[in-house]
Amino acid sequence: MGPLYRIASERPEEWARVCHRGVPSPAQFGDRLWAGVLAQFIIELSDGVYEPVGLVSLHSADFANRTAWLELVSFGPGNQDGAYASGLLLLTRYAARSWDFRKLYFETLEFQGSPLIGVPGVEKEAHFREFYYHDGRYWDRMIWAIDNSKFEPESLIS
Amino acid sequence: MKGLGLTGARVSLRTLLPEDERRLYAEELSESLGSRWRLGGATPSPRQHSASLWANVLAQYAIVKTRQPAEFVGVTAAYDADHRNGHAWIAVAAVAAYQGSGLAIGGAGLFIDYMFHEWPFRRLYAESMEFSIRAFSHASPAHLQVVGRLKDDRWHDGRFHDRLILQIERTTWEAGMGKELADRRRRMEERSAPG
Repeated sequence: MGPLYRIASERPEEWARVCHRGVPSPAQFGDRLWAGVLAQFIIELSDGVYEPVGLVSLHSADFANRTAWLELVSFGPGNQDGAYASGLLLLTRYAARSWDFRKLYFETLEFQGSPLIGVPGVEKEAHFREFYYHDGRYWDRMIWAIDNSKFEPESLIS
Repeated sequence: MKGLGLTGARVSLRTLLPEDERRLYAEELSESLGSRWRLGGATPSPRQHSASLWANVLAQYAIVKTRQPAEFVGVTAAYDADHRNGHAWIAVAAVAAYQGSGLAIGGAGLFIDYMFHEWPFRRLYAESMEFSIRAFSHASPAHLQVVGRLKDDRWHDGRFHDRLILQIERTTWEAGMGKELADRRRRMEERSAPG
């Protein structure tokens, strides 16, 4: 847990679910990291070094209504968009093979973006203006939905 | 010093009492409301229900009729307050006898005014299923902005329904409906002023 806590404390704005209201204590961090989580994986580069670059989570599952939430956390300032996209797609494929969800939601802040935006089957369903304070100003928050009937992770995974 | 403004002409807000919790438990598990409210048809134990009623709550009041015998109309609450970013979520529910009467929305109006008076929130959010949105027809559309529609999010009565996310801006509220409440509050202050 130590390395993840250090990364989160340096870039809490990336950890919306765990650090939404500030960096918690190390003990609280561990609890929140796993609260409501159905599946969670570290994204590693398949380059022989296996450097961890991010974390993907499937959480807040609502089995009655067949929805769940995705989260992507990037660990570093370096550009790893390809790895993040692959991590999210692998998780969506894992979710599709494991559970019968109709929709997967994820949220982004205005300054973050997501590799899934623009992919067929992904639509913005909520837009909160000036929701989150960071770096001297308020930023918008968006909720996106993946419609599993239109989304085909298999064809997108490279 | 302003009063809290918890008393309106038709409805008032008062502390939520244990007997109100029992009433809400019966209402939420009733055939008419059971699947419409937040439990979606589930039947938790009374203890679980009470815990969920108070989970992450910042403030919660019973809505009652102002005229005696002050009949119980419903409940309104603020939860998941995010003081860092200046917002919170609110909820309102009417018991079966007062569904569609507009009284619960009147209570929510008092509560929104109270929230903006007691805390420096920039805005409040609320959720509503599309089949419940008619209850908000008593509210002014200018104060209530739809910022999200989660399509086919929740199952009810044989099909999936949209979940709406609504926003109430402090500035819009204070400029519009809030003025009416501010005037009422000023009259209350004048009545309670010594001498």
